Amino acid sequence: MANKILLIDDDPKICDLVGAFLKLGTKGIELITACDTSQGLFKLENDEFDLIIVDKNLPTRSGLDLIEQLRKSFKYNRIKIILLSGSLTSADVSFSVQNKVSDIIVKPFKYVQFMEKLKKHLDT
Amino acid sequence: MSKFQIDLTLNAGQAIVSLEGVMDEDMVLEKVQGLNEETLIFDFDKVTSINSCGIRDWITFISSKATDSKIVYRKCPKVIIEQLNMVKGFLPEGAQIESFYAPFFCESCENEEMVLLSPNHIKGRKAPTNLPCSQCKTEGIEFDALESQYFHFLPEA
Amino acid sequence: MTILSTDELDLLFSPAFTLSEELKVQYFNPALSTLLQLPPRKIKEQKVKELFPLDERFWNDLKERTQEQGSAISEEIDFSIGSENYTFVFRLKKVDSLILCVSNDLSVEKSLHGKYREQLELLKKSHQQVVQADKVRALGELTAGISHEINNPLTVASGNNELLGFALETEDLNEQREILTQCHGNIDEALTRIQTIIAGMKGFLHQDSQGEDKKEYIELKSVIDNSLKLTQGTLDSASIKSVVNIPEGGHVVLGNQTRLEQIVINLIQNATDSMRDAGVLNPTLKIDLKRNPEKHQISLNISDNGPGVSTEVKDQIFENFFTTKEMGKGTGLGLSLCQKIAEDHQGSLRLIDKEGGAHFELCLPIIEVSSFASNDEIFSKLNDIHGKKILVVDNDVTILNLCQKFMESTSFIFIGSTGGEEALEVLNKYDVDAVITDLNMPGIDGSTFVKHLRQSYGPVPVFYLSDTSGMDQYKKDKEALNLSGMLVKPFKSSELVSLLEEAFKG
Repeated sequence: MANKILLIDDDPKICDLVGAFLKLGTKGIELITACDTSQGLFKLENDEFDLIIVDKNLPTRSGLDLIEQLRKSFKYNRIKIILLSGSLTSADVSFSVQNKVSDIIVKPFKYVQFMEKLKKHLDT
Repeated sequence: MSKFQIDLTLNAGQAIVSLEGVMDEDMVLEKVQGLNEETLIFDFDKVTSINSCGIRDWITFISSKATDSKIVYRKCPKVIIEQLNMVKGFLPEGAQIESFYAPFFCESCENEEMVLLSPNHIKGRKAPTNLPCSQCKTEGIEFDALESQYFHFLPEA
Repeated sequence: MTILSTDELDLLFSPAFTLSEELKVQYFNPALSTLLQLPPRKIKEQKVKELFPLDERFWNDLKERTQEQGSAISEEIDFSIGSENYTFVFRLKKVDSLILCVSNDLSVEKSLHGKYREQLELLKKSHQQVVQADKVRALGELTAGISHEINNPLTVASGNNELLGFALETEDLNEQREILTQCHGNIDEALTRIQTIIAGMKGFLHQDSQGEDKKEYIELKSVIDNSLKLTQGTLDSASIKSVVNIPEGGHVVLGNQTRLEQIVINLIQNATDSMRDAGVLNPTLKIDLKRNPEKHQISLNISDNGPGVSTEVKDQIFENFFTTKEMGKGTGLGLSLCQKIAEDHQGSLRLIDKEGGAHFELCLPIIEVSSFASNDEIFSKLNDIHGKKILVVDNDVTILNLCQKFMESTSFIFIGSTGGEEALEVLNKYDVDAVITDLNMPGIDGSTFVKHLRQSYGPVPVFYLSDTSGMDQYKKDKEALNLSGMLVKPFKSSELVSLLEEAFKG
């Protein structure tokens, strides 16, 4: 079964990069991207995803707000979320624990660690 | 070493303030601004000079203290006596001079010295005439300034 | 009027004394004794030159002049007695067979004056340091945002570098050509982005090498653009949307680019902090420029939809060290410094009352006004200053700065304007001696401008400024508009100066 991942990040170059990483790695991971919260929500409504990667800094509304919103909803309460952030602060960590975020990937990231984290959370 | 220093001693009911150095525009009186003891004794022994800025600041300071405390001036050197005589307010109303220096000259051995006197040594603005010279011991050293000017701060009769 | 006796002279606060023919002290008042710190016996009958440590010539010269003219005044003279330094002025007068000498003690005044000047210099240096420190502080606050800004391109560069590495490991590199090219391009772009951000930081932090802040003609749009570049990261981190509204045409002021950016950055940061701390939904920052022709000002407005400034602190926000932030966050120096910078530019920074958020307005004089003012004359005296006033009209800021620079070492006075309409307004109020105008400008073009000028302003010498394509227009208008000449771009300082000098020769 092919895995589908939604990446919500406003930087198109980052989206390209993740796409290129996934192409190199294991076959069978499909990447859908969205550039902000509303686009992301739209794509969520119209598709099924195994994992969402949310960038912390999004235009208009912070990625953290979006994650909170998803967790409060009935439908996306349990969906696997990875937070993409420029730093690892204790605030980020405690937020992640509270909101059952599966993992935090810190920018800049290396190919190997990135893929390992993805695989880990897709397999379980 | 700054140009001006204050040494402060507090006893029951009185403060003894020793001033040392130059009283000018750089003089800082912060240390004594808060004094409110019953009696304030100002010892001018080590004051070397004073200018119009120092005088002005001193007058501002002392007039605020004179309303609540008894003021005593002690061991005033010549430079202070000269200002005291010339500038109104330097010695506030009700303040007392405990002691002061006066210049004397010995005709025999030409020695010049400052003698510490108190107001009761001076009658009718006249200097004592029987003081001995500290060097040659001859009696009757001469007062070395103008009596009417120098003792102006004391009563006429 | 009775003749003064020595009793009256005794009353003087400053030294007075009489001198005999041989310049020996006869009478002297107590003030002299106090000054010299000598007892009477050491003063009477002494030669004045022995008493004052001054050159003999000083007294001899005074005595000579007194005897010739009846009285004499000395120059300010310094001397020391013991450890005390004095500055005095003496005045002598012949009275019968004696010379009366009175004096004025300037010692304290002179010393205080010197100290005052020293303190001013120290204060100026201190202020410079504070301004620089504030820049560093602002940059420190920006750093978090800038790190974020740099992080993304860094991630792109790093990731693409890895992809490049993987591609290089394959057997047939030719197959990988497309990927290799793409990665290379992405890395290049990302690195350039990072360099730009860092260059912006460095430029902002760079201290003016001159003590005084250099001012030149700058376009406010670039101040806004640069400030936004530097704060983009901060704004993004707080998900703040920025709406910028800059109308057509130039908004040129005379100012220091970095200082003005300091103001805008400070205001943006304050807005960011305010909206973020209050958890505002849809935080929005609005920046706009408005021309205010009646007041000859341009206003730069920065407003947000945060909680605004409470009425209690409204009056205090511009005070030094006032801050509503917690200890350790913000020195509170920002707004008072910003206001001082605005005042240095003959402008103002105010908080405008508004509902739902804070609105700060920075007003700066328009270029016409400030270029007059920068010649150190106030408006009303303008028509009196010497030197010919040359009005240069060009929407290109670099040309204005160039002309100003060229005229600096001449006796010509530079007045700048960015467009025909403003120039005509200025000419309605103040005289100029010559006009140099660009041909291609937004708003009314050079030719139309001169037509209006000739109708209302008369025979002032007018020159066209343009590249060679403007030659035709010049030839066409030369007779009809009585043009005195043309300056062809690019031009040298010598060409500008000789063109002007020719015009004034006739």
